[in-house]
Amino acid sequence: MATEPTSLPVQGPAMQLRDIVLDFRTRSGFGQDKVFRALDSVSLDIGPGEVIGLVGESGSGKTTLGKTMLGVHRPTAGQILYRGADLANLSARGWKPFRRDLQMVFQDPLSSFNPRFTLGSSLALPLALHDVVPKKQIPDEVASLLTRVGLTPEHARRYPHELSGGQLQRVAIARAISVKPRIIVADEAVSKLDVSVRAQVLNLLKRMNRETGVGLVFITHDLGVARFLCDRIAVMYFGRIVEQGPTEAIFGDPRHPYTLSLLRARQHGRTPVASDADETALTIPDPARACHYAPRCARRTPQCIAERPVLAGGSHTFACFNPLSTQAAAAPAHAAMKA
Amino acid sequence: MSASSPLLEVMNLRTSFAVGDRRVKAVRGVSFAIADEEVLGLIGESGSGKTVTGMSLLRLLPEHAAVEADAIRFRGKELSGLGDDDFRALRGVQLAMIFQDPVGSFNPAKTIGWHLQHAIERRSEADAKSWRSEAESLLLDVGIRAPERVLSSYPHQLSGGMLQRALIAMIIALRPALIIADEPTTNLDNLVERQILDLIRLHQRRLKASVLFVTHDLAIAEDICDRIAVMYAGEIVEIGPAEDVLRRPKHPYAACLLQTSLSLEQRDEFLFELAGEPGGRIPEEGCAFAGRCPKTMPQCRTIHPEMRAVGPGHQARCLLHGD
Repeated sequence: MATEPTSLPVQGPAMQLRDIVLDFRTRSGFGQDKVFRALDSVSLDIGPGEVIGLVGESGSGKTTLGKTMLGVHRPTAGQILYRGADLANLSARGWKPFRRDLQMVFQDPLSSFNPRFTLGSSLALPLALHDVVPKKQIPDEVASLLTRVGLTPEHARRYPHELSGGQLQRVAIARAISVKPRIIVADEAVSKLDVSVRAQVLNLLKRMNRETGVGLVFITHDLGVARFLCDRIAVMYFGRIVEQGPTEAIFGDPRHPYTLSLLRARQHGRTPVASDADETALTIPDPARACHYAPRCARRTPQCIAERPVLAGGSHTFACFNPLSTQAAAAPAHAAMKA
Repeated sequence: MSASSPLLEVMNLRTSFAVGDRRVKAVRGVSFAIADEEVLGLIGESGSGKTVTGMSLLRLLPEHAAVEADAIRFRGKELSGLGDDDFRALRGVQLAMIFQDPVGSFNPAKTIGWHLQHAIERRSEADAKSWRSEAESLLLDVGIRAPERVLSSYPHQLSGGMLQRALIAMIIALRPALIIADEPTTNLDNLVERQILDLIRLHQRRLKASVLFVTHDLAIAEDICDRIAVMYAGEIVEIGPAEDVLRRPKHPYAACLLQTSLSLEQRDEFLFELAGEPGGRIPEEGCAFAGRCPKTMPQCRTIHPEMRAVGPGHQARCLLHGD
């Protein structure tokens, strides 16, 4: 069954996430199951053709958020508004018409291809499933996809293990764009690649975004890479977005202390950064109501332990009671990137 | 040997692996020296031989690897003649290694305390009874606020960053003369990475130890290294003071790596691209980089370049330089 991509409204975001909550239940083995809140009231708009960076440390929920957008996880609460529908509560079958529009590129390209299929057949499968082109034209389409990502039609006859990591990531990108999606979620898509190859793949992603107008949700822990590729950046910490805004604003005018420490972590010189080892030093009466970042925050006040800040502001939002002032933050942030 | 001899001197190290009926040369004649209290960075992409170089020096490679060298001298003493038992006594005390994945450096069935106790006891002069207080102060030294809790924890109960800290505490306990650190922060988040790098630098100075720091990340190398050796296809193609190599690279490969990271920093519309990928088959003759090099000349395909001086303490392996 084919799903024609409907034309998007001229204005308005391609996808809107509204107050997404995602709880994971972990079996403790004894007594009650534990609940781990992986995503906590996450709201995010993805404009058509926009490149959004999700940055944060491991465990911050950025991958979980990316997967939730694609229906891998069903949110506990909240809405995923897309093409006039709320996808949040759809079953796997309900997601079906939207799968073509929403594609993913993974960190490890080798494990995202079937080792027994030639790359040509791996590329042909989604083309046939979604009736992207008539059956007869599939080989030509595969060849042209490979050419577009900088490979040769000859690569269609190869198997995944015969290609290098960079070449295989190109094929993964070719597969993602082949069905003409609206949004591609790229999860650490360049972090396993060598320095020289990473530049090639980043350029390719940017070019594909420009040429096809596909929106990108780019998940990364590397701020330098996010700065190159992204129009907007959302900084995640402990399942929440703590700061979100245009890339320029995040780098030139970070307001949340966590964003600043992320920027400084890649900075040359001796600026001390908050330590994960400091966390045990603080006792918080009710962690459910405190700011998640309070245990590590140098700007912590009693309010931060008693209350949880919400995202506030216009196009540049941040969740902090004691945000950095514009001037103070600007100076170190300009020198911050050295990646 | 005179007192001024380097701590470690490696001459013409060659390591190859038997793959099927042929031999794959992973390290093809690497020579370098590390002075006392010096941090030498070994940078390169995957397959450049940087990890195999470190593993060869510590004899940590599997059976099918063949390691040869004209000389491997530690404090002026040749190591290649040393028997396995003597070498084991040296490794882990005088020579320590930090791996990318700290989990593999711990016995999963033993607590962090057990590991630290053994490290402390291994350093002969340590008093066996006082190990606990020493272990606690070591953990405090690496930024762990609750040492009692960590001492009774098992490796799987700690995060990657905490485990890397505990490993560094173990290494400090041994007071080695040379630490080989192989991508010790690659699996860690940016913030934790910065903290671990700061720790390594701090304790390297305190211990007056030398470090061979293996990484693919130029920014990290610039931060932590005194000198840098750039590897490509099993050879060192450029070596010199960190600032010279990273600011004024002479070898086109080093220059391309720098250009790539600069174009990220300068926010170019598109990044500088170096064509091709590392890790391909190495040509029989000529320069291994010739196939990717933006400055290839006809003679690059036939003449294998030697290391030539390009500045004070700065050498490069390229026909564009020297003579």
